[in-house]
Amino acid sequence: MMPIQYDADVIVVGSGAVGSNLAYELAKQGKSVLILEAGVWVPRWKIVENFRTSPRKVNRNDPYPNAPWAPNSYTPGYIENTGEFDFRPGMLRLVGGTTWHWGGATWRFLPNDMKLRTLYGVGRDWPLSYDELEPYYTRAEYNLGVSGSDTQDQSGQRRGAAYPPRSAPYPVHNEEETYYFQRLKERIGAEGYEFLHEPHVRTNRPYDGRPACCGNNNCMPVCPIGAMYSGEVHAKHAQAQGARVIPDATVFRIEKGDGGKIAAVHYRTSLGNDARLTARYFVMACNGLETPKLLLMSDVANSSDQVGRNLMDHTGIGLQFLADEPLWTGRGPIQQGGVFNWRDGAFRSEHAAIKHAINNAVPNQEVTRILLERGVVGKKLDEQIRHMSARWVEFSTTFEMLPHAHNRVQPSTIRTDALGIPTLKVHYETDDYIARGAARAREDFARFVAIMGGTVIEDHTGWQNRDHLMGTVLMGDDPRDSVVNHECRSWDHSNLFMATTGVIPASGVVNPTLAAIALAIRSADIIAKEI
Amino acid sequence: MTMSKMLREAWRAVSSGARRSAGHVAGTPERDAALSPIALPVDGHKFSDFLALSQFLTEKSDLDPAVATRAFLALTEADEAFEGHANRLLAAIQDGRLADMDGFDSFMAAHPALRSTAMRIISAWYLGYTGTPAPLDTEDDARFVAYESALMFRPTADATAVPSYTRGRTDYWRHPPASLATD
Ligand SMILES: Cc1cc2nc3c(=O)[nH]c(=O)nc-3n(C[C@H](O)[C@H](O)[C@H](O)COP(=O)(O)OP(=O)(O)OC[C@H]3O[C@@H](n4cnc5c(N)ncnc54)[C@H](O)[C@@H]3O)c2cc1C
Repeated sequence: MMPIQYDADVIVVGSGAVGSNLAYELAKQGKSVLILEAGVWVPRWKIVENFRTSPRKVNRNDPYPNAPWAPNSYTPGYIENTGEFDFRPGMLRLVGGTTWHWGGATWRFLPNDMKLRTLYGVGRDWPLSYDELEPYYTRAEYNLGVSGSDTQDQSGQRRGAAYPPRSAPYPVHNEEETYYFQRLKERIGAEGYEFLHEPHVRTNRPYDGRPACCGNNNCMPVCPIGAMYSGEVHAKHAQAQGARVIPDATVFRIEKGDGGKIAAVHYRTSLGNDARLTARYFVMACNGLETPKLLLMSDVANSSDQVGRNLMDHTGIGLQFLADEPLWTGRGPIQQGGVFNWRDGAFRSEHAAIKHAINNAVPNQEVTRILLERGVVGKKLDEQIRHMSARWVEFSTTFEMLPHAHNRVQPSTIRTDALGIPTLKVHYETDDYIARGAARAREDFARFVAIMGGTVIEDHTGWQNRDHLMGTVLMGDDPRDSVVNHECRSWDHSNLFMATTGVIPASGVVNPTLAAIALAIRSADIIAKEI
Repeated sequence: MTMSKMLREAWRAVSSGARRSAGHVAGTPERDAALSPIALPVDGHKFSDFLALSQFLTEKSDLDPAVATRAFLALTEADEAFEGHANRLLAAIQDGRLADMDGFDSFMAAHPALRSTAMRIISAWYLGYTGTPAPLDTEDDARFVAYESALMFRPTADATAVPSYTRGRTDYWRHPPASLATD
């Protein structure tokens, strides 16, 4: 009998930060890898020019491609919401994926975050421990060039030593604190609030071909100099290691084969041409909404009926006020850290963990819009722009959401894109767990404002999107109520893996992408051993 | 500056093709201004009126005619009646009933119908767009006018960057701007 021929050892669907890191690790180990990507390559300078000439700087998707055959998530109608909340994360379609415009925050989850059910009786546990994931966290941090503090207790609980445990120092030391952050820390920190530096991917020394951040203050929507990491870095590295990136290739079907295995994927190009590709292993890395959509469209990996369910974001609220002294927000990177007293503790059996992130974006546009709305003109307008910009303070607060089966994403039954592929239908409701967290957070808001002698601009924002897509292909110990196991391998198909934040079953309160990359590197090692 | 003197200066700037792009922070030429044709798609007279009106309303004598062209087109595209309103506003100001922007509020109290036209012009110059940009949608009525030379950045040009341009080197942000004591 002829040996079976495959188009590749591994096909990775999606070239975002998670899929590209996994592809790179496999290619480095000599495996043949194909990356299928719905979008195209776009050089950075074009995105920067698109940003500068855009009338909607407030819109983070705007400088990015938005083709009828590869629509981004802000296309009207692309996400049909049936729940109360308008769930609308800013997901992109181009080589490198959504991390082209992320905040670059790369926290580790805490050991306790991964044992939420056991310790606090709510939500779910992860099916692996922090110690098992730790070596992969380190590898992920070195791939991304994470800049962080090697001395702080990142749980916010003041252990007096670095925490959580790590097997290697951060690859890049932390940058200097902005004057704005220093002053907030001095004054608000003096009242018992725990300020932490946020680990992130804006290198401050040359790293892996990237220059040092010099404070262009534009991480979202695009870093003009490429100091901030994006998935494109490892799409290119994977290519250099021999992987092939196929852009303009939207996968619309996963084909089942014999013995519970996946046999092939089918993709369609913008010209409407279809192709079928086979491989030994398949990895779905299309992000936390598109991955479950594709599985549901293909009737794959869903014996548990959990695919697309348990959708979690770190749904949040915001605060803007003017301090009683000039702090000059807007110098340096767009964010640097925040207040972490509520990151962990017994209270988590009652209410969501809370992260108060501090924004450091140049506020002139928002300030000027407010002043014009108030009818301020002439010399006063210029004076007030300076006065308010110097005193602007902004918090972006997030909560730990719990998984609920009714919060879900499905393929739309009423709408398709230009390729004839269903768009998304989302149902998302907030719950009492984060509502109680928000009540706590608002008490903090009132204190922050009082301590800073502040004048409130906005402290009732309502729930906001935070663009962290978790839970939709969650991992667990039990095939009956989870989609993948601790390896991120489908319970139903032994050669199918998920590489996405969607595998995360307990959301903690920190940005999820680094964890997904660590898990994906771990999956790559497992796959490599089996091929 | 009187209205007629402003008009003359504006006209001179337009006819000589002079362009000044003020408010540069990082010494990078502004791409949008550089690429815009100075040839005006509107007739010169109407345009000089708009530039003069803009100069008066913003109290800036160095407005870029290329940006003025975009602002004028954006405002007229969004609202056919804009030009008529702008003419009425200009006429009212020229009638001598408003000497400078310090008297704006009381002037507008007497001419409430003209306020939104004035604010739309000021807003285009300051914010660098017209209309209302949608944060989570690809469709809206926003139109581009300017970025780096948007007037909202001038008052802080010594302290903060126009986002995407840099103001210094790594870690410069550790220190406040030199002006702190008087801010
Ligand atoms: C404004 C913003 C700020 C953020 N800030 C942070 C932060 O500070 N820290 C953090 O951890 N996270 C942050 N996030 C979230 C972060 O961007 C995502 O978690 C991350 O991009 C997920 O990576 P991914 O590779 O799973 O998906 P993506 O980056 O979305 O990449 C998926 C890729 O798959 C492609 N694709 C989709 N469907 C198909 C298909 N059918 N066939 C082929 N290809 C397909 C897409 O085109 C895309 O390129 C932020 C998100 C946003 C929008």
